[in-house]
Amino acid sequence: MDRDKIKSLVFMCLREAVEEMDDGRNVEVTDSVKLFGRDGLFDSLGLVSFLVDMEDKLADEADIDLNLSDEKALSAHSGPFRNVDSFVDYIMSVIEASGDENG
Amino acid sequence: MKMADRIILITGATRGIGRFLAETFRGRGCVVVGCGRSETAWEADNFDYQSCDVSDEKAVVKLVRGAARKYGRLDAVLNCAGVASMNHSLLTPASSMEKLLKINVIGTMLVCREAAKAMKKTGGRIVNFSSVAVPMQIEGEAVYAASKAAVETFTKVFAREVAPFGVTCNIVAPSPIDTDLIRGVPAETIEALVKRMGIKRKGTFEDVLQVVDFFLSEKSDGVSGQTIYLGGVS
Repeated sequence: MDRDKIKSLVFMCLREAVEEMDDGRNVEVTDSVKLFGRDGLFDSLGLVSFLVDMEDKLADEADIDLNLSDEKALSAHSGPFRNVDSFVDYIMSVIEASGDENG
Repeated sequence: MKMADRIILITGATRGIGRFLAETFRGRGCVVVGCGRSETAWEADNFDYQSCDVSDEKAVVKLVRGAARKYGRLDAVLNCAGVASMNHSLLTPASSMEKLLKINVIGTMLVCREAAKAMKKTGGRIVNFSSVAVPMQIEGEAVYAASKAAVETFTKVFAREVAPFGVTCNIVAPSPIDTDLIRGVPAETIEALVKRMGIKRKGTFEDVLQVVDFFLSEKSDGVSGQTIYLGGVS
Protein backbone atom coordinates (compact mmCIF):
# COMPACT_ATOMS: atom_id res chain seq x y z
CA MET A 1 0.00 0.00 0.00
CA ASP A 2 1.24 3.42 -1.00
CA ARG A 3 2.34 5.55 1.97
CA ASP A 4 1.04 8.74 0.38
CA LYS A 5 -2.38 7.15 -0.09
CA ILE A 6 -2.48 6.19 3.60
CA LYS A 7 -1.41 9.69 4.58
CA SER A 8 -4.13 11.28 2.50
CA LEU A 9 -6.71 9.00 4.16
CA VAL A 10 -5.38 10.00 7.58
CA PHE A 11 -5.77 13.68 6.71
CA MET A 12 -9.26 13.05 5.36
CA CYS A 13 -10.26 11.27 8.56
CA LEU A 14 -8.65 13.93 10.77
CA ARG A 15 -10.48 16.73 8.97
CA GLU A 16 -13.78 14.92 9.39
CA ALA A 17 -13.07 14.39 13.08
CA VAL A 18 -12.21 18.06 13.57
CA GLU A 19 -15.41 19.10 11.78
CA GLU A 20 -17.41 16.96 14.20
CA MET A 21 -15.75 18.51 17.24
CA ASP A 22 -17.96 20.92 19.11
CA ASP A 23 -15.48 22.19 21.71
CA GLY A 24 -14.88 25.56 20.06
CA ARG A 25 -11.23 24.90 19.21
CA ASN A 26 -9.98 26.14 15.88
CA VAL A 27 -7.65 23.33 14.87
CA GLU A 28 -5.59 23.36 11.71
CA VAL A 29 -4.84 19.87 10.48
CA THR A 30 -1.17 19.82 9.49
CA ASP A 31 1.71 17.33 9.47
CA SER A 32 2.72 18.42 12.95
CA VAL A 33 -0.64 18.17 14.68
CA LYS A 34 -0.29 16.10 17.85
CA LEU A 35 -3.06 13.52 17.97
CA PHE A 36 -3.06 12.46 21.62
CA GLY A 37 -1.49 13.32 24.96
CA ARG A 38 -0.87 16.72 26.53
CA ASP A 39 -2.06 19.41 24.07
CA GLY A 40 -3.15 16.63 21.72
CA LEU A 41 -6.11 16.89 19.38
CA PHE A 42 -8.07 14.05 20.97
CA ASP A 43 -8.96 13.00 24.49
CA SER A 44 -9.04 9.24 25.12
CA LEU A 45 -12.64 8.80 23.91
CA GLY A 46 -11.95 10.98 20.88
CA LEU A 47 -8.92 8.86 20.05
CA VAL A 48 -10.97 5.65 20.24
CA SER A 49 -13.57 7.19 17.96
CA PHE A 50 -10.90 8.42 15.52
CA LEU A 51 -9.22 5.00 15.36
CA VAL A 52 -12.53 3.30 14.63
CA ASP A 53 -13.25 5.85 11.89
CA MET A 54 -9.75 5.31 10.50
CA GLU A 55 -10.35 1.54 10.37
CA ASP A 56 -13.56 2.23 8.42
CA LYS A 57 -11.78 4.63 6.08
CA LEU A 58 -9.02 2.10 5.33
CA ALA A 59 -11.64 -0.59 4.69
CA ASP A 60 -13.90 1.57 2.52
CA GLU A 61 -11.29 3.52 0.55
CA ALA A 62 -8.38 1.09 0.36
CA ASP A 63 -9.99 -2.30 0.99
CA ILE A 64 -7.71 -2.90 3.99
CA ASP A 65 -9.22 -4.54 7.07
CA LEU A 66 -7.08 -3.68 10.09
CA ASN A 67 -7.42 -3.48 13.83
CA LEU A 68 -5.61 -0.29 14.83
CA SER A 69 -6.35 -0.52 18.52
CA ASP A 70 -3.15 -2.34 19.41
CA GLU A 71 -2.69 -2.02 23.17
CA LYS A 72 1.04 -1.34 22.87
CA ALA A 73 0.35 1.59 20.57
CA LEU A 74 -2.37 2.96 22.82
CA SER A 75 -0.19 2.78 25.94
CA ALA A 76 2.97 4.25 24.37
CA HIS A 77 3.58 7.79 25.61
CA SER A 78 5.61 8.93 22.61
CA GLY A 79 4.16 6.34 20.24
CA PRO A 80 2.20 6.66 17.04
CA PHE A 81 0.23 9.73 18.00
CA ARG A 82 3.03 12.33 18.11
CA ASN A 83 2.09 13.65 14.69
CA VAL A 84 0.57 12.59 11.39
CA ASP A 85 3.77 10.99 10.07
CA SER A 86 4.27 8.85 13.17
CA PHE A 87 0.66 7.70 12.88
CA VAL A 88 1.10 6.87 9.19
CA ASP A 89 4.27 4.92 10.11
CA TYR A 90 2.23 3.02 12.66
CA ILE A 91 -0.49 2.14 10.13
CA MET A 92 2.16 1.00 7.65
CA SER A 93 3.70 -1.25 10.34
CA VAL A 94 0.29 -2.78 11.15
CA ILE A 95 -0.34 -3.41 7.44
CA GLU A 96 3.09 -5.05 7.16
CA ALA A 97 2.52 -7.20 10.25
CA SER A 98 -0.90 -8.17 8.95
CA GLY A 99 0.67 -9.23 5.65
CA ASP A 100 3.28 -11.32 7.50
CA GLU A 101 0.54 -12.96 9.53
CA ASN A 102 -1.41 -13.84 6.43
CA GLY A 103 1.70 -15.32 4.82
CA MET B 1 -37.09 3.13 13.96
CA LYS B 2 -39.81 0.54 13.35
CA MET B 3 -38.91 -3.01 14.31
CA ALA B 4 -39.59 -4.16 10.75
CA ASP B 5 -36.88 -1.88 9.36
CA ARG B 6 -34.12 -3.12 11.60
CA ILE B 7 -30.94 -4.94 10.67
CA ILE B 8 -30.21 -7.49 13.39
CA LEU B 9 -27.18 -9.76 13.74
CA ILE B 10 -27.84 -12.94 15.71
CA THR B 11 -24.99 -15.29 16.61
CA GLY B 12 -25.75 -18.93 17.28
CA ALA B 13 -28.69 -18.68 14.90
CA THR B 14 -28.69 -22.29 13.74
CA ARG B 15 -30.49 -23.73 16.76
CA GLY B 16 -31.96 -23.14 20.19
CA ILE B 17 -32.69 -19.62 21.43
CA GLY B 18 -30.70 -18.04 18.60
CA ARG B 19 -32.74 -19.78 15.95
CA PHE B 20 -36.03 -18.95 17.67
CA LEU B 21 -35.09 -15.27 17.88
CA ALA B 22 -33.86 -15.25 14.28
CA GLU B 23 -37.12 -16.77 13.05
CA THR B 24 -39.17 -14.37 15.18
CA PHE B 25 -37.44 -11.17 14.05
CA ARG B 26 -37.26 -12.34 10.45
CA GLY B 27 -40.99 -13.00 10.63
CA ARG B 28 -41.56 -9.46 11.88
CA GLY B 29 -39.88 -8.13 8.75
CA CYS B 30 -36.40 -7.40 10.10
CA VAL B 31 -33.35 -8.37 8.09
CA VAL B 32 -31.61 -10.99 10.22
CA VAL B 33 -27.95 -11.75 9.59
CA GLY B 34 -27.49 -15.06 11.37
CA CYS B 35 -24.27 -16.87 12.04
CA GLY B 36 -23.17 -20.23 13.30
CA ARG B 37 -20.22 -22.56 12.94
CA SER B 38 -21.94 -24.77 10.33
CA GLU B 39 -21.23 -24.13 6.68
CA THR B 40 -24.95 -24.00 5.91
CA ALA B 41 -28.16 -23.46 7.87
CA TRP B 42 -31.91 -23.14 7.48
CA GLU B 43 -33.10 -20.80 4.78
CA ALA B 44 -35.88 -18.19 4.73
CA ASP B 45 -36.68 -14.74 3.40
CA ASN B 46 -34.90 -11.93 5.25
CA PHE B 47 -32.47 -14.44 6.76
CA ASP B 48 -28.87 -14.03 5.61
CA TYR B 49 -26.75 -16.87 6.98
CA GLN B 50 -22.99 -16.46 7.38
CA SER B 51 -20.72 -19.20 8.64
CA CYS B 52 -18.56 -17.80 11.45
CA ASP B 53 -16.78 -19.08 14.54
CA VAL B 54 -17.28 -16.20 16.99
CA SER B 55 -14.01 -16.99 18.76
CA ASP B 56 -12.08 -16.29 15.53
CA GLU B 57 -11.19 -12.59 15.58
CA LYS B 58 -10.69 -12.17 11.84
CA ALA B 59 -13.91 -14.05 11.07
CA VAL B 60 -15.87 -11.82 13.45
CA VAL B 61 -14.42 -8.64 11.93
CA LYS B 62 -15.38 -9.91 8.47
CA LEU B 63 -18.87 -10.92 9.63
CA VAL B 64 -19.80 -7.66 11.37
CA ARG B 65 -18.16 -5.28 8.92
CA GLY B 66 -19.61 -7.28 6.04
CA ALA B 67 -23.13 -7.08 7.45
CA ALA B 68 -22.88 -3.36 8.15
CA ARG B 69 -21.57 -2.69 4.64
CA LYS B 70 -24.08 -4.91 2.90
CA TYR B 71 -27.11 -3.42 4.65
CA GLY B 72 -25.80 0.08 5.29
CA ARG B 73 -25.95 -0.15 9.08
CA LEU B 74 -26.37 -2.50 12.01
CA ASP B 75 -29.17 -1.78 14.51
CA ALA B 76 -28.97 -4.64 16.97
CA VAL B 77 -26.94 -7.68 17.93
CA LEU B 78 -28.09 -10.70 19.91
CA ASN B 79 -25.09 -12.68 21.16
CA CYS B 80 -26.75 -16.08 21.47
CA ALA B 81 -23.75 -18.24 20.54
CA GLY B 82 -22.65 -20.28 23.49
CA VAL B 83 -21.62 -23.71 24.66
CA ALA B 84 -22.03 -25.49 27.98
CA SER B 85 -19.99 -28.09 29.79
CA MET B 86 -21.78 -29.79 32.64
CA ASN B 87 -19.09 -31.55 34.58
CA HIS B 88 -17.54 -31.60 38.02
CA SER B 89 -14.61 -29.18 38.16
CA LEU B 90 -12.25 -31.97 39.23
CA LEU B 91 -13.08 -33.85 36.04
CA THR B 92 -13.01 -30.97 33.56
CA PRO B 93 -10.03 -31.00 31.19
CA ALA B 94 -8.30 -27.75 30.25
CA SER B 95 -9.32 -28.26 26.64
CA SER B 96 -13.02 -28.11 27.64
CA MET B 97 -12.41 -25.01 29.75
CA GLU B 98 -10.55 -23.31 26.92
CA LYS B 99 -13.20 -24.10 24.30
CA LEU B 100 -15.97 -22.85 26.55
CA LEU B 101 -14.18 -19.63 27.48
CA LYS B 102 -13.24 -18.94 23.85
CA ILE B 103 -16.81 -19.17 22.58
CA ASN B 104 -18.75 -17.80 25.55
CA VAL B 105 -16.38 -15.06 26.65
CA ILE B 106 -13.98 -14.14 23.85
CA GLY B 107 -16.68 -14.65 21.24
CA THR B 108 -19.09 -12.35 23.03
CA MET B 109 -16.37 -9.73 23.55
CA LEU B 110 -15.29 -9.79 19.90
CA VAL B 111 -18.81 -9.49 18.52
CA CYS B 112 -19.56 -6.67 20.98
CA ARG B 113 -16.40 -4.83 19.98
CA GLU B 114 -17.03 -4.98 16.27
CA ALA B 115 -20.77 -4.33 16.64
CA ALA B 116 -20.19 -1.19 18.69
CA LYS B 117 -17.74 0.04 16.05
CA ALA B 118 -20.39 -0.49 13.38
CA MET B 119 -22.98 1.30 15.55
CA LYS B 120 -20.74 4.20 16.54
CA LYS B 121 -22.41 6.77 14.32
CA THR B 122 -26.01 5.58 14.55
CA GLY B 123 -26.28 4.00 18.01
CA GLY B 124 -27.64 0.52 18.53
CA ARG B 125 -28.63 -2.27 20.86
CA ILE B 126 -26.54 -5.24 21.97
CA VAL B 127 -27.97 -8.08 24.04
CA ASN B 128 -25.64 -10.65 25.60
CA PHE B 129 -26.61 -13.93 27.20
CA SER B 130 -25.82 -15.15 30.70
CA SER B 131 -27.56 -17.82 32.77
CA VAL B 132 -29.21 -18.36 36.13
CA ALA B 133 -26.25 -20.69 36.71
CA VAL B 134 -24.32 -17.57 37.83
CA PRO B 135 -26.46 -16.50 40.82
CA MET B 136 -27.60 -20.06 41.60
CA GLN B 137 -24.02 -21.37 41.80
CA ILE B 138 -25.00 -24.76 40.49
CA GLU B 139 -22.66 -27.65 41.20
CA GLY B 140 -21.34 -29.18 37.99
CA GLU B 141 -21.48 -25.89 36.13
CA ALA B 142 -18.46 -24.14 37.63
CA VAL B 143 -16.70 -23.42 34.34
CA TYR B 144 -19.91 -22.54 32.49
CA ALA B 145 -21.06 -20.24 35.31
CA ALA B 146 -17.61 -18.64 35.48
CA SER B 147 -17.73 -17.93 31.75
CA LYS B 148 -21.16 -16.30 32.08
CA ALA B 149 -20.01 -14.31 35.13
CA ALA B 150 -17.22 -13.00 32.90
CA VAL B 151 -19.81 -12.00 30.29
CA GLU B 152 -21.79 -10.16 32.98
CA THR B 153 -18.80 -8.16 34.22
CA PHE B 154 -17.64 -7.44 30.68
CA THR B 155 -21.11 -6.20 29.75
CA LYS B 156 -21.34 -3.83 32.73
CA VAL B 157 -18.03 -2.16 31.85
CA PHE B 158 -18.54 -2.30 28.09
CA ALA B 159 -21.96 -0.66 28.47
CA ARG B 160 -20.30 2.36 30.09
CA GLU B 161 -17.60 2.51 27.43
CA VAL B 162 -20.02 2.53 24.50
CA ALA B 163 -22.71 4.71 26.09
CA PRO B 164 -21.21 7.90 24.53
CA PHE B 165 -21.92 6.39 21.11
CA GLY B 166 -25.60 5.72 21.84
CA VAL B 167 -25.05 1.98 22.09
CA THR B 168 -26.70 0.02 24.89
CA CYS B 169 -25.55 -3.39 26.05
CA ASN B 170 -27.60 -5.58 28.37
CA ILE B 171 -27.97 -9.20 29.38
CA VAL B 172 -30.78 -11.68 29.50
CA ALA B 173 -30.04 -14.69 31.70
CA PRO B 174 -32.50 -17.51 30.99
CA SER B 175 -33.54 -20.28 33.34
CA PRO B 176 -33.15 -23.83 31.92
CA ILE B 177 -34.89 -24.13 28.55
CA ASP B 178 -35.24 -27.35 26.56
CA THR B 179 -32.43 -26.83 24.07
CA ASP B 180 -29.31 -28.73 23.01
CA LEU B 181 -27.41 -26.81 25.69
CA ILE B 182 -28.96 -28.87 28.50
CA ARG B 183 -29.63 -32.03 26.49
CA GLY B 184 -26.94 -33.96 28.38
CA VAL B 185 -28.15 -32.90 31.82
CA PRO B 186 -30.18 -35.59 33.65
CA ALA B 187 -33.89 -34.72 34.01
CA GLU B 188 -33.73 -35.06 37.81
CA THR B 189 -30.93 -32.48 37.93
CA ILE B 190 -33.05 -30.00 35.97
CA GLU B 191 -36.06 -30.76 38.20
CA ALA B 192 -34.00 -30.10 41.34
CA LEU B 193 -32.80 -26.86 39.81
CA VAL B 194 -36.31 -25.72 38.93
CA LYS B 195 -37.42 -26.38 42.53
CA ARG B 196 -34.81 -23.87 43.71
CA MET B 197 -36.13 -21.14 41.40
CA GLY B 198 -38.78 -18.61 42.36
CA ILE B 199 -40.94 -19.55 39.37
CA LYS B 200 -41.09 -23.32 39.42
CA ARG B 201 -41.15 -24.20 35.75
CA LYS B 202 -38.57 -24.44 33.00
CA GLY B 203 -37.99 -21.34 30.93
CA THR B 204 -39.40 -20.81 27.45
CA PHE B 205 -38.19 -19.06 24.33
CA GLU B 206 -41.02 -16.57 24.80
CA ASP B 207 -39.65 -15.63 28.24
CA VAL B 208 -36.38 -14.69 26.56
CA LEU B 209 -38.12 -12.85 23.72
CA GLN B 210 -40.03 -10.71 26.21
CA VAL B 211 -36.79 -9.40 27.71
CA VAL B 212 -35.05 -9.04 24.35
CA ASP B 213 -37.99 -6.96 23.06
CA PHE B 214 -37.65 -4.71 26.10
CA PHE B 215 -33.92 -4.20 25.55
CA LEU B 216 -34.38 -3.57 21.81
CA SER B 217 -37.20 -1.08 22.31
CA GLU B 218 -36.51 2.45 21.12
CA LYS B 219 -37.72 3.60 24.51
CA SER B 220 -35.00 1.57 26.28
CA ASP B 221 -32.21 3.98 25.37
CA GLY B 222 -31.73 4.70 29.07
CA VAL B 223 -31.29 1.04 29.98
CA SER B 224 -27.75 -0.34 29.75
CA GLY B 225 -25.37 -2.59 31.68
CA GLN B 226 -28.31 -4.51 33.19
CA THR B 227 -28.81 -8.23 33.70
CA ILE B 228 -32.31 -9.68 33.87
CA TYR B 229 -32.49 -13.19 35.32
CA LEU B 230 -35.52 -15.26 34.38
CA GLY B 231 -37.39 -17.80 36.49
CA GLY B 232 -37.69 -15.64 39.58
CA VAL B 233 -33.95 -15.95 40.24
CA SER B 234 -31.89 -13.02 41.49
